[in-house]
Amino acid sequence: MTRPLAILGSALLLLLGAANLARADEPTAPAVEPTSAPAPVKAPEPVKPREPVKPPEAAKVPEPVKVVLPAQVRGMGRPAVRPNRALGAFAAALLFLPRKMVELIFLASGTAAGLVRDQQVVPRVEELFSPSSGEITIFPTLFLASRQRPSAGVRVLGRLDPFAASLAFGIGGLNDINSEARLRYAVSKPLPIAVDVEGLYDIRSGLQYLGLGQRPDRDCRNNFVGLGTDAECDGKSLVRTARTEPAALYLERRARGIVSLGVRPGENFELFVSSSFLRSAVEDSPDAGTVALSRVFQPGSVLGSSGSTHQFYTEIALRYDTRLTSGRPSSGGLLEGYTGLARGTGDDNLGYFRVGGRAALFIPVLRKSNILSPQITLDGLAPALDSRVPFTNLISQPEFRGFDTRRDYFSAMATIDYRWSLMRYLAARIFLDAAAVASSPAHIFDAPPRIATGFGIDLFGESALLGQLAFSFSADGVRLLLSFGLPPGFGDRQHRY
Amino acid sequence: MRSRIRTAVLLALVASPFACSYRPALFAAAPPVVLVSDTDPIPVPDKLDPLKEVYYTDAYVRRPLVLALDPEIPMDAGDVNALDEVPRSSWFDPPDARPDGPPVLPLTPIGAAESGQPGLAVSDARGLLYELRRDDKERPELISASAAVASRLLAALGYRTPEVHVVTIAATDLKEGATKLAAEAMTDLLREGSPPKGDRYRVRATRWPIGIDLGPTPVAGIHPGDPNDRVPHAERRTLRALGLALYWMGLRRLKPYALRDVYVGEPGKGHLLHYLVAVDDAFGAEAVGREAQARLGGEGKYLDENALTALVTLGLRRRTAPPVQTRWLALGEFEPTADPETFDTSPPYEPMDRLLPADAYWMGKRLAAVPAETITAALAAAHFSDPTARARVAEVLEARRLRAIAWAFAQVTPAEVERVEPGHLTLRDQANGRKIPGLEADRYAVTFLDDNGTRVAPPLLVKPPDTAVTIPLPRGAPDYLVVRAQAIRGSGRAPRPIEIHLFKNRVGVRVVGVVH
Repeated sequence: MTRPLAILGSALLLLLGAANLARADEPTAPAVEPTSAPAPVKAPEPVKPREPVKPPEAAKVPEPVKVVLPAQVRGMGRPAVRPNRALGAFAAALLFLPRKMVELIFLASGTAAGLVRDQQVVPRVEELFSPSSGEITIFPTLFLASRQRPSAGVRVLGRLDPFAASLAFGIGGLNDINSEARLRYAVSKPLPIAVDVEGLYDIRSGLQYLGLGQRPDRDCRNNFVGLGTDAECDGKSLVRTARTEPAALYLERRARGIVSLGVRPGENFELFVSSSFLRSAVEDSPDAGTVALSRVFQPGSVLGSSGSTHQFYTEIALRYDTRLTSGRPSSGGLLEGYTGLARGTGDDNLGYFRVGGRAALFIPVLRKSNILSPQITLDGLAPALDSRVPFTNLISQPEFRGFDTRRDYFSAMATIDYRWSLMRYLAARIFLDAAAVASSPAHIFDAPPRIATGFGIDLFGESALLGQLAFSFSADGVRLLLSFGLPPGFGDRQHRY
Repeated sequence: MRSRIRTAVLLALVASPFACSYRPALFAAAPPVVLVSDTDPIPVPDKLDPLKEVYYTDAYVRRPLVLALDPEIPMDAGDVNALDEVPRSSWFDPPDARPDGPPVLPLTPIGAAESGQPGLAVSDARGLLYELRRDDKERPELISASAAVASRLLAALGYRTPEVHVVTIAATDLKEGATKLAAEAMTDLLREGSPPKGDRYRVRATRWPIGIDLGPTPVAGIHPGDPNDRVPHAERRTLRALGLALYWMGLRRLKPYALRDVYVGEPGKGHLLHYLVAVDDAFGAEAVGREAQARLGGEGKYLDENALTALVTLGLRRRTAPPVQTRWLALGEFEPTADPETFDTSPPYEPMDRLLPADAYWMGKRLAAVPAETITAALAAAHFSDPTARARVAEVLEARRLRAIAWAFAQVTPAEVERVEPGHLTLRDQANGRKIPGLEADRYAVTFLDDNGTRVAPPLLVKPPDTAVTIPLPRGAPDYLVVRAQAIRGSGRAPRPIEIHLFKNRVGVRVVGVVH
């Protein structure tokens, strides 16, 4: 019974549409006969008299006449119904979601530039004014990268002068979630100053740990379960014969709060002071099986590989950046340095110093929109007295565009990047990265650096990167990076560890 | 079974947009509105200061993407009356305002120009504010002459533009700057620009601001602090059709601060007026310097390079740009043969992207209505030193005006209601009246509908003897009659008919609505 009714229903609807179309769909005028002269005009006879209609009378317009609403100005009691518009509206409804997504991402980019950039930045004066006060914007985020869990989520941004706030939630699976809240207080006078308070909770699974060193499988500081008694590493030997050891997988739960103050005392000069509290708990990644952290490394050999750690970390950083914007290819120079101290809380004897910096040049080649950029980044970490350093706090290389899988106490990375503008707000880049880690600067050349090279396309606004697609090639494999909106892994040192 | 139901539901959904027919609008039997009351007293709104980087990103990246994903035809203009005309408002068709005239000496420097344009803000002997700007060294007279002419032509079309005067001043006409910033701005004004003649500097003096400058007019929505502002700006005909006016005068650069809102009156008792302020780049001034920009890596449509070429060549290929004429230094790239259809501004302006045929036709009528004397007077105000430059501008302006009118009239059936009498409706064909080649109608196809879209009389073919098109009205027609008349030209039918809504009562028949 249902079937004939359904078919009958749709047939009736189609017939109704066809009948309407036949009746007076955009009424067509009589066809023109090219060979025949038009007939003398006569007053036509009425075809179908109807009851006289009464259009809305003038009384609807208030006296005295003060007209301001568009409908009053147009004087329409009822708008026209046009079939061609219905088709357009139907198609527009189908495209509503992708359209809205694009709209929201760009609406939010102005706020995002100041509030949540890939590096901590004190906005320039003019950046503090976007978007307008009172506006709340919501936009989706998507992050895809090789050997990392994809993440999708939503970010809500709002501003009520002089405060701006951001709430974000992303999910990549049951054991991959992140939630974050940020509140920024920013003023432009007498100096641009931004105070941020942030909170984060996340769970990340499938994280890799290969061990210490540039070549972890040969590094005698790593005690792999599969090696048993390691005769090669007895005595003073630092390396062993090359072996193939699996990458251990672990899960980390983090709860973190950060308070930071940023000041821009000069047009190109920024100063940051920040302090954070981090609670981190590490365990084996679910379903990791034989490659779980506890089954790859000997028990107790990896500091912080089980249980939780609690630490305060305070850092001061200076940055001098003469580029007009980090969004579009711009010439200039960048010099940055920082130092920080971490201490465990309570009985946790965790503690370390961190120090580092980077220098980069952005050199125009033939055109101001072709930028060749050599950059060097150095990071170092030293345990404080007899304190311990959890492996999750060791120096890693998140800016290396191959796979960020090496950790140690010292890191050096050199990159050269050529970025050129293809058209407005679209740029291409090719790059070459060389990265090495070691137990100290003296050992940085003991092993050859890892090399990654690749290319990518960037979509950018004037003040921020909006999306990117990049491929990098290294000995570890091919890495694809696709991001639209802001990736969840953004952040400076406070946010990365 | 379920799949059949799903199929039926899907079919019904797909068919639903088609299941409606054309039904004309229903106009109120009221006189057309000729004045919009959008000047009620309001508190002074906050000054808007949008981030220009966000503006450009929006104009060049977001909007093209969003428009590509939006096949819906834009809404009809929201600032037109029942007769399809734009009534007087805070946006358009200002009453005859008595100009303040050129600044009266001496001038007191105040600081940098508030409108966002380069230049010096000064107060004259009467306390009125002006902004002074000099011409570029390489193109003496271009900025001042183009601004003087463009402001007058835009005013003749009905737009609010500040007065612009070309004047000469000596350094001694400027008092000492009261502040350090004012002194610096004054030094910059005198140092940069085309060389003086004797001790006299040629400057353009723009009467701005005339009240409290509240920053750029929002591009698409409404002003958040102005309760009088009821029509989203992207739906304003005056802004949608602005591109055709700018094409006429060769003003392609439309910076984010070009349109500005100003609060006039005492705080709390005043209201907003909406001005087009930045008109310095008329006569194709935007093209000047593009060769240098191309070498340095500038971006723009004039460059002979596309994204694929740039990708393959790593952006290292030498880019060039066609040279700009130097025969007349008071003009940039201002050619009579430019095509109005492909004209666009830099950066793109959202309301113009939503131009509908009726909006273009309205601007075509406005262009056609500008008297020759107005153009002559505007050219005289430019004070060209080279009479051939003035003649060239006049020649190009007229050629472009005709092109713009022809293009605008081609979008619709370009007819206006001349009169309605018992038994007859007379239209006047604007293209026939101007004898525009290719647009002259030799017949009109006419249909008669009631308010519900049902035909109430057989269709007609009417042959206009000249410009007048007399349409006999059917006897016994309903009180509310919709007459749709479509011009037939040698090249075929006009793209859309004119629709005239007639209402009959005891007094007689009258026109209550027009749709182009």
